[in-house]
Amino acid sequence: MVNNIKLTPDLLKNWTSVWKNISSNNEKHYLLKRLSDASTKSQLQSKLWLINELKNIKLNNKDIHTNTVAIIGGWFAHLILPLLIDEIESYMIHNYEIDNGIKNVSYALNKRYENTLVNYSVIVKNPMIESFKQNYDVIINTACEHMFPMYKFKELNPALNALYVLQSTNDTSFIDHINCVNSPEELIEQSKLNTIFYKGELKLDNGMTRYLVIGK
Amino acid sequence: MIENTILCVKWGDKYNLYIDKLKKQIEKNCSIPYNFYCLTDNPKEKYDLQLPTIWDKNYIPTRFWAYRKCYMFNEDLFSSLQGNKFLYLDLDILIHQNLKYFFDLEMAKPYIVRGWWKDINISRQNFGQIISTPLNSSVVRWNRGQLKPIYNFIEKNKDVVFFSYKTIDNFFGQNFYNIWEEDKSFFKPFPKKDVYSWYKGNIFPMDMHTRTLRPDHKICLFNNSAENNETFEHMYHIDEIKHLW
Repeated sequence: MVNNIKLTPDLLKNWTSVWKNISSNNEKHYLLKRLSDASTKSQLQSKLWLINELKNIKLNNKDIHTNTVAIIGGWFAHLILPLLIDEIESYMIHNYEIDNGIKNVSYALNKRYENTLVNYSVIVKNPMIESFKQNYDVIINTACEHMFPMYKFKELNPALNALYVLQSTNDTSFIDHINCVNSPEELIEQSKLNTIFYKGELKLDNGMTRYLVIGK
Repeated sequence: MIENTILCVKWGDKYNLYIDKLKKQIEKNCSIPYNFYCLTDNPKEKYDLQLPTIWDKNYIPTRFWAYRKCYMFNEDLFSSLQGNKFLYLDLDILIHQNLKYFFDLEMAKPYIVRGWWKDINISRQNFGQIISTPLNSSVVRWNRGQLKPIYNFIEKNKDVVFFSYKTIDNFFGQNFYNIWEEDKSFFKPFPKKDVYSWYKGNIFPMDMHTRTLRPDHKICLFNNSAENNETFEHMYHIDEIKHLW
């Protein structure tokens, strides 16, 4: 059972340096709220949940690989990246974001992976509009409530034979939650997943109910 | 043929009284020859052109509001539309100065209102949430064909676009403006002191007085038309501008 991120000296150095840099630069103050929103107990809970279930599936299915991963709307990806690398041996991780503003911060938070065997990139594009140019073992979208249903992504990338790891919520109280669902089954249906390895729900520390489905 | 064309768009009947007001303001404030058209769902006057309805079926209430404005970006949809230099004006505006200025602009890129009253860092903070765009499509200036890529983008991705964006300005902000490097954008913003907002001010942070007339600027926006706007007031109810409008 994975219940933490490994707090290494380099991780601490990377994160502290980003916080210091943002806090001391008035021009970057707008990033403070975003980074703190992305660094909550609930954010980590949902990522740990995802990694544990993914790890279980991998253990029980020799055909499931997790080396190459695309994250859709991964934001700063500072919580999920060490989990993917340390727990399920991912070495190529591409974070597809519409928000160019997170790119440099995400690189700085994950700087310790530079010049290692891990290939981490932030790719600025909208995956609901532009198709992918390469294949991945796993597609992770922990922000399905923020975007068009995932069936569109599958339509745009018909040749992709990846494992889909999707999270969403029924919490409609946020203006940017434009695609909430009321159950894991609804998430499966709107994503047009055919083979399901896991489905479940979890109440997070902030009171939000999140759904997780893993399938193809 | 007259090259300069001024457009407005109207659907429903909430703004019926505004067309004549806008037309009179333009007559008073445009010193060069121009064509005038109103793109509308209910053509009655000589200057009216029928709005298409092809995107009606994609509309989701409260999302991608005012999508009908985007039809004008494809001039081919309106066979009798004349001119090559287009200036779009919202109905709820106050024109202070000669509109010739807009037709004399250098047009390497199309122009849109960049709300200089907005704190760009708030827009950047909220970018991922698709809110707080700095753009405002109440005044748009383009040459024939320049905005066709926007029409084509919507047409190609209409399911995603109509689902994902609350307003067309948020859509423009995400896809046709570079909030991080503004001079690299598809659109060019009208310069500061051209267009200001009655309700939001002029330039952040130094000139944010609201409900203030600035006659040395070109146009004042009222932007009263957002759906579900609880504080809605018609321009003809605003004491300070009654005599000007």
